[in-house]
Amino acid sequence: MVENNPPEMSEKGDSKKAAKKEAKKAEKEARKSAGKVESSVVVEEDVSVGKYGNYGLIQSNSQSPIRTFTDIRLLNSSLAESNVWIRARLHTVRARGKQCFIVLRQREFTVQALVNVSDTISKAMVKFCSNISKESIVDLEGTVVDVGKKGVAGCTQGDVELLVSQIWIVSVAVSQLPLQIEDASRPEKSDDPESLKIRVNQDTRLDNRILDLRTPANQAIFRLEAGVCRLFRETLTRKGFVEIHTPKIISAASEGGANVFEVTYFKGSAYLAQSPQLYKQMAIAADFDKVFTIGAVFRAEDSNTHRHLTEFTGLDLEMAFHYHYHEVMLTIGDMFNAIFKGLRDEYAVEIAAVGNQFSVEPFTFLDPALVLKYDEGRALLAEAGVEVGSEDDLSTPAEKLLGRLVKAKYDTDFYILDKYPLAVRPFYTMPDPENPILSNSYDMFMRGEEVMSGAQRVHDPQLLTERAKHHGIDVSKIAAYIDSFKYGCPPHAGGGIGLERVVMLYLGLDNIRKTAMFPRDPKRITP
Amino acid sequence: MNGPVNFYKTREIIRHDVQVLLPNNMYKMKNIHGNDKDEGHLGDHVSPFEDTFNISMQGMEDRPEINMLESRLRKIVQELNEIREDMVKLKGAVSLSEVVNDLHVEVTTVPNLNDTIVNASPSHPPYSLLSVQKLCSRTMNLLVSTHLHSTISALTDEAETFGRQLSEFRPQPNLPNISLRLIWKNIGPSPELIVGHLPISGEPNMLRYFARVLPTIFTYENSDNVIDLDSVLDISYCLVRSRTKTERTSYLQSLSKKLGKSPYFGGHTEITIADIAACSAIKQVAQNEINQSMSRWLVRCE
Repeated sequence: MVENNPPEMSEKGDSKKAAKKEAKKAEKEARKSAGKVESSVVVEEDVSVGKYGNYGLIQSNSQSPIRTFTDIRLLNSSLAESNVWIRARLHTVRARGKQCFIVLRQREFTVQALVNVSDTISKAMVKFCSNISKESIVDLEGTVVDVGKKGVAGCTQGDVELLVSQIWIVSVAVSQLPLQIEDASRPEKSDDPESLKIRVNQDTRLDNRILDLRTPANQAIFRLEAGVCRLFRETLTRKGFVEIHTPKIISAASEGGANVFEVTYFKGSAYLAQSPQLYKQMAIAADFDKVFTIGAVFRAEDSNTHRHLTEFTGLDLEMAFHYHYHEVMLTIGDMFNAIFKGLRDEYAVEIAAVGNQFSVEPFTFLDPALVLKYDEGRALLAEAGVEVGSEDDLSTPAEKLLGRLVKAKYDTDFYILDKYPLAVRPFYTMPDPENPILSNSYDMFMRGEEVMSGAQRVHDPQLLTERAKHHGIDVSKIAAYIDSFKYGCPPHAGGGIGLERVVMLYLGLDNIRKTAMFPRDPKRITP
Repeated sequence: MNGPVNFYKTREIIRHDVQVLLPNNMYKMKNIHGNDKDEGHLGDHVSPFEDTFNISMQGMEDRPEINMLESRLRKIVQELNEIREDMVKLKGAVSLSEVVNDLHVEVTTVPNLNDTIVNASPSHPPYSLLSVQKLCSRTMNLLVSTHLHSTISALTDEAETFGRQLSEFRPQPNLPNISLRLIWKNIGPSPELIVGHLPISGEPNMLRYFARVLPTIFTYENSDNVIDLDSVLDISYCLVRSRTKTERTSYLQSLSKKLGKSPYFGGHTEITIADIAACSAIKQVAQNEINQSMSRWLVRCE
């Protein structure tokens, strides 16, 4: 009956094309009905009823089963012969005759499960398994089998596999995925010339960020990002810092005035905070001594580069010191080193997972951090043939070159450049007491890119007014800032880093959008 | 023709009240008739008194007292001149040696050694740096700052003690400072000295470099038996890199033979670069495997 249909249809068609189309349609329908027939036939004699199916919506029913689940990452040969329940995503499924191979995935860990037709497993169950769409969440019961030395290629838990006895669908994924997880997690550069060249481009990834985030590399990146935040908090708290929260809606631009987002605020307008600096400094003037803050920072810069976002997470700190701002600078250097050490020691698995997809050199650093004077940096550059004037700022290419030179000489990806020229720093930077063209300011670099810009701030209202006038800034507009130092303020210094940028540079990734979960740039405000 | 005669009125021939314009292509001469005092009382005469002075002296030339006085004065002046010449000679000698010293410190050492990096593995601390620091202490302050590279998570006890010893050095305020960075890094038994773009590998080679830039401080190429010293340096290099105990023993034996009964290598009476290198190598790998005469020498080198 099925095979007779197509010729009949083709006779009716006017052109060959239409005929073909019709034929295909018919074939599809025929296949559907055939499937129905087959399944209905099997169901009659199914031996594994109650061992597979769809749970339906889990609504926290009062008769919910009580089960202990095992994590895939804990599966190994020591658990052989034991029965385990696993809830995981179905990564891939492949049916071959009476067998069906399933790869289950939990974050970056994968294990192979095997459904074999047997006394207790019906053909229908195998067929059901092979039809579960990729990325669906399943509950699976199975026996751990030690596969010995040959192992399962392509799975993280290669020494074992699961012999399935039950499988239930918890949540089904649509069968058409906008991107394949396998494509999205394929190494950027492969040594194997026969490996597939399919990659997922940045925009597709960002448009379907939920799927993209499921790749092992992305899982690792955001766990590591959490680690940076945690280590920042822990290190500074141990050093006696207090965490503060600063307002994000502000009345006037905090730095300079450009690059702020304006928002309507009832009948007037307000701005989104561009930096918590003013509030950090006010906290110092209010006797908090050492403060840090973690929060969103907004920059209305229309720059579409690999390292700019319009919204990012700022990790800022400010600290009062006794006599020399190096007290603060070295504290910050120590803080960076504590973060790097923590990442190196506690996040080796995550770093390796990122390294699998994006091959990069491990991050190197020196403890205590390397401090170079701005003039020493200029001398290094001059030696390499790049002249930078004594009162000029470093251009981005010069910064990168200096990063490479320092790396070649000292083998460190992190260093501090101290004593920048006064002319290239903002008005609130304290001038150097011994050399009028220098200032008490420093930049910190990771892999040749600036991650922190900091300085001793002017804490004397009179000098501050003078400096502001020198820079041609309308003093009346920053009166509130200047006034905050009127009632006595300890000398202080500080700086801020961008979380996304630090993670990007620590891992050696090429784009900041890889380290922002839902990045915001001039061209993207969704998802 | 009585009565007054009226004179004819004649035309004035010469007028005296007009300004006479002198041509400017003529020399100006001094007005010798005028007696104006503008020139001063000497006028244009040069030293009008000289002649008179000489004339007045002529009368006294033959007087004996005057002649005696004159000869005595001449003698004194001559003696003073001699003293002055001696002083100038002395001063020249002194300032010459100062110039040499300045050259040595400011041109040959400071710029060449500043910002130098030594990469060393914590399992093999370059003990020779301590000796270098000590030997240099008369002419300069060798300040060593230590860093820990990220390839190493913890320092060994020896490395930590060594780093502390280096940092305990008290700099002399009037001597030039030279800063050197010691970076603990996972690089195997041979430390690296980074001066230019290529590293100098191995502690003995590092010392050779120091000896070349600071020739006055170390006994090496300025000694008669450079070849002996060189072979000790090479043995020290191999000793650190040796893998088995038998290898080490053979190197130690040849070192012991080279030392013989002399206080220092090469029959020297003062410490040489070879002693520094061998000393450090033995401390790193074979402190407990040396004989008595060697241990006595080791103590002497401290």
